Amino acid sequence: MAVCIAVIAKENYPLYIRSTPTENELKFHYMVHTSLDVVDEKISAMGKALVDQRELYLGLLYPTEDYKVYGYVTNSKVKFVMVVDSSNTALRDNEIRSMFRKLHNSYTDVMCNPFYNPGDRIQAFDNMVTSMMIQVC
Amino acid sequence: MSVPDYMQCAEDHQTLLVVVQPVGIVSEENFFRIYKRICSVSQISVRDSQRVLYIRYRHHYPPENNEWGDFQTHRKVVGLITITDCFSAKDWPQTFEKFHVQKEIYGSTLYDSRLFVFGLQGEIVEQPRTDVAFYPNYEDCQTVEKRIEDFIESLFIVLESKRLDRATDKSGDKIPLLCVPFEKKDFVGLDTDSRHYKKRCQGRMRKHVGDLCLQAGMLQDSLVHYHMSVELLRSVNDFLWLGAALEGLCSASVIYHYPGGTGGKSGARRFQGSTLPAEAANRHRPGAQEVLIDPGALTTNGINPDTSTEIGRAKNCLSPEDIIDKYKEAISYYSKYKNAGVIELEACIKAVRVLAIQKRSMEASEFLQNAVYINLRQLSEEEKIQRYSILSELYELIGFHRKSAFFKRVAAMQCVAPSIAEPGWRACYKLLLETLPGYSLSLDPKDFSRGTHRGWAAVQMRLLHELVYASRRMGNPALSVRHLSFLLQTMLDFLSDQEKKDVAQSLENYTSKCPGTMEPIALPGGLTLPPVPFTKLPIVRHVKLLNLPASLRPHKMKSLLGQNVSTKSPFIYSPIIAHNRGEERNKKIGYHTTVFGVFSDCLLDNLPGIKTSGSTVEVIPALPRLQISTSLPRSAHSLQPSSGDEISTNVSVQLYNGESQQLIIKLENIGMEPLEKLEVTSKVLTTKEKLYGDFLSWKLEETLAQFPLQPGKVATFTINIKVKLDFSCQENLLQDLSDDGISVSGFPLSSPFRQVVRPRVEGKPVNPPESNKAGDYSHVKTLEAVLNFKYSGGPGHTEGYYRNLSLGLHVEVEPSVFFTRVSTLPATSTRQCHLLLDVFNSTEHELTVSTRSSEALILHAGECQRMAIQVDKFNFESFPESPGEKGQFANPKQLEEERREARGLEIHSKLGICWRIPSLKRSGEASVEGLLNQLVLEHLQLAPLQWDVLVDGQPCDREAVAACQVGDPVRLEVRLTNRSPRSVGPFALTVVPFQDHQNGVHNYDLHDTVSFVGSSTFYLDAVQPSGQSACLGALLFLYTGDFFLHIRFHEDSTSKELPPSWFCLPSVHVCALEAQA
Repeated sequence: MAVCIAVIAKENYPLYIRSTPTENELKFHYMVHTSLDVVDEKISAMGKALVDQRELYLGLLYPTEDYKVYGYVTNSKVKFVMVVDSSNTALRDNEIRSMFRKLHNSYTDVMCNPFYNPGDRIQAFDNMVTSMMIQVC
Repeated sequence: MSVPDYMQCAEDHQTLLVVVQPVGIVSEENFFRIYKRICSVSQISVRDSQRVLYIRYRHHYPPENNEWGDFQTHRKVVGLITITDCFSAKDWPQTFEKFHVQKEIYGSTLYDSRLFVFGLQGEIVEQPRTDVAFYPNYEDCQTVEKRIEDFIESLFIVLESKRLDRATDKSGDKIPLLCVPFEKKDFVGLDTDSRHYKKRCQGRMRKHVGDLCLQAGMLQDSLVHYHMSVELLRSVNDFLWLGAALEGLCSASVIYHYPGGTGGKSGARRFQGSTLPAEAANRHRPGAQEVLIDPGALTTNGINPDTSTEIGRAKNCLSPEDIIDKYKEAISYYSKYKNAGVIELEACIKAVRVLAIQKRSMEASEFLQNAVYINLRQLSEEEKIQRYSILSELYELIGFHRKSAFFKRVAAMQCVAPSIAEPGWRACYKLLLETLPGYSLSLDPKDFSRGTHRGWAAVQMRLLHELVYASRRMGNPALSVRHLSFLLQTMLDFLSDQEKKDVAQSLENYTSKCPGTMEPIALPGGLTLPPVPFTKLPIVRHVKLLNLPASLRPHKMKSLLGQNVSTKSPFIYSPIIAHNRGEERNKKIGYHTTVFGVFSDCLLDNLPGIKTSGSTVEVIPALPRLQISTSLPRSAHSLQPSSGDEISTNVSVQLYNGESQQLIIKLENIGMEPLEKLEVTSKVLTTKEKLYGDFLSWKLEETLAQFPLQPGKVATFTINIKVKLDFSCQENLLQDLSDDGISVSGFPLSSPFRQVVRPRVEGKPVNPPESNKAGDYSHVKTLEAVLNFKYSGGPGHTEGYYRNLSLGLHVEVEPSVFFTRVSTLPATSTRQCHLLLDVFNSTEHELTVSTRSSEALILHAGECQRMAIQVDKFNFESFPESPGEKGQFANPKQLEEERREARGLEIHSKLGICWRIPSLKRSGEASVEGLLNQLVLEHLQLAPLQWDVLVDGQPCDREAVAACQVGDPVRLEVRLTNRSPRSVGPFALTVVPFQDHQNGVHNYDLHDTVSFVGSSTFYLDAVQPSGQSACLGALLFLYTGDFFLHIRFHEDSTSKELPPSWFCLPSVHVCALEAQA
């Protein structure tokens, strides 16, 4: 299902990134990195809306030939980006949405850990991400 | 059509395409000079400034694109300008022929053409021709612009005629079917009479007329035509042309809304007309239906002053939102045709430019995304680079910096694709540099020194690797070293262990050829790469400032401080001056490393791991540097730790007690400033040993005469070292010499007490019974002193600073001679006495001892001998009280000590005892200062009462024998001089004559032989201090013979108070001779 999941800090550097075809990790780095342009654009467009009405889910950021890139932004401007195989038509918007919500919950858990320094790379994320990556595949 | 024009924008639809080309051999420089001037004529007002023509010039245009001219007329080459060199009339026909050949290429579409001939003179030039212009050279061609304007006028006439021609034949005549190149074969055998076909012809023609109107500066007309065309073509599903009609509509609307242009060519278009586009947009009601106006009413003249039609026109124009919708629609139609790929691509780009102006980035990115997927034929590498570069530019335009950087990087990689025969590493590198902002990467390490890392490390690292590789392939190793250093420094936290190893390895490889420096590297593009100090390699954990070595540490001269400040300010102390110093506290403290061949100057401020409040180093003006070298060997001895000063050099010397040596010091100025001032002080470190005389003495004047000492110059300075320790033998372990007190060797001794003469003991046994006994005396004593050289000069001196250099001096004093015992014997004269010294040679060499008045006494090693020295008694009381007396507060004990020392010195200088070791050729003094006890001193002292006995007016003392004649009275005078501080006397003296039989028998019974003239008793009155008194008497010798006179004091109370040594009268020896006849 998801081939790449990334958590990106407010300052737009990766807190966590993991992709399944590990041999071409850099490709996903580029993909997620360039998707930030769209995220930024969407956030700036959203900025006009009221805070409490803000939708965290950003929807499809952009499609590529093989993948679809989805985005999600928390109120603290931490971004989640998920890359999904285009061929996987089973995934609907709703599923993506729920996956992001799960991701957000896990992220909140990480933040609650008193031993975690905000801004550091996230280490204790793998289990949940693995489950999300394998779930359907 | 296969070559897209990536630079196209919507307003290009209103331009006329003119190709400018060289014919024959024209230098590129000349061609572009003319081309530039031609291009400056890009818009022309025609018909009394009511309409404006826009010209688009190209110096290269693929003819196959020209074939699409009917589809969109701005793709049609309507004018051709050729530029040629022609220097002789002979060549002219040939040149002209070439011009015609060139015309043939675009022949079908050309409205008009011109030939510019440079260099030709003569009769050909005289013939006036419209299509050929002659210029003597490239400088002398002022009329080029005018020629072009005329040319454009002529183009306009053709354009206008075509427009009117097409626009008017609405019905009757059969309208030809316009088509694009790939359609031609599709229409073979089609029913040309069908309604469908006619509509298609009509629609396409309308669209074409719309294009022409747009080109001819009739924007509103073109809108009307496009609207009609859209209606017609929609009804017959002629999608390709419908798309073109829609795009035409969009183009016209864009031109209307954005007179500034969308292509970013600012200033290229001038505002025309009075209608403000913003107003027009406001007046537009969204969603309003296009109001079709009968085009017939509009064909004659472009602008109708009637305001009612003005409103209608505004409605014909698309709203900004509609423009995008129509672009979308048009592109969707284009996409149905594979052969129209270029059209679709260009339409996408045009739409993106419009969206960029509208600041609708998201939609623009969708258009761009679409453009990315449009597959044209197999592109050449160059075209690929161009395509990626344009995509990057467009993404940049819409604010997608990361995407832009991504495509720029792809373009850069394309420059060096393996399929390219000659990889363009320079171009690649240049493009890669342009991607830096997109990856939020600055090449200044300062931006990374604080706080969290900015940007996406993984992609940044990749980019840096690519920069390193590209710069290396470019043949600029310094650049690659710089990039690699930067990578290592800034990405250290993100590199895996293996990567760190690899990077370090390759850095070492690079630096072996080109070491990394701290110089900024300037790139041709204007970018400067700042140096990369390795502040993380190695990691600095703790920083502590260490003071300079003591010899280099500057000291402030206290006396100069006030004076110095006063030169700068009228105030004695001004806080402003103190403040100025603070401002100079630049963040300059750092350290220097060489890691992997990269030299780094790291400033402490940039260190990530250190959180200090900073260290302050006060920098003072330069001072000279003094280096000293001495004639003595350096010693490993360090002085006692208690000495306090840090000693830079230690020298040591071994001397015998009493020996002196010169220490020659070479002062070299090894600094950059002249050495102007020098002060020398010495400090003898406290020692148990009693030291006599000046240990160190010097004359600075001789050295100072050589000053100021310029850098590199040497001056010499001499110090006398004189060691004079106690020569006494306090331990008294040595066997004393025989106690008789008279065993004296060396010289004759005459003393009134020398009655008993014993055979002289020939020294003591040379070897003492216990061999180790000598060891007790040969133990070495140590003296230590510190010489301080305070020096200054140069600007530091004027600021009041100096430096202090210390030289440690370590002197080992070996014993030379000892005086094991000292005693005195009275001499024959009351003014003299004999000093007896037992001298012990504690060296292992034969040694001679001599005094001022006697010859040398030879002592073998370990030998002890007695020597007697006849000395005049000393009148210590006559010494002036030393002026340095510490006043009344001085401790009487101290005073006494001082007096003793002064006496000792006096005695020492009188005696002048010297020793010499001939075998070593060394010599020195020996001093008795330390061993003169009170008793001995008293003996050596002149009594305060000085008695003089005069016989016949001759002073009678010592061995001298007074001679007199028998029968003559001999005058005897006893004279007393009182040197004591009190009055003495009165005294009574009796003169007792006697004869010495030299056998121990004294004959006092001389009443018959000696008679006194007057009394034999003398009386002396009391004598005041420093007074003198004398009494006279006379003797009469009746027989010849040797007589002695013993003068005795009458014992009474007064004289008893005084010490007996005060009453020491010389004995008188009188020889009575036979009276002469």
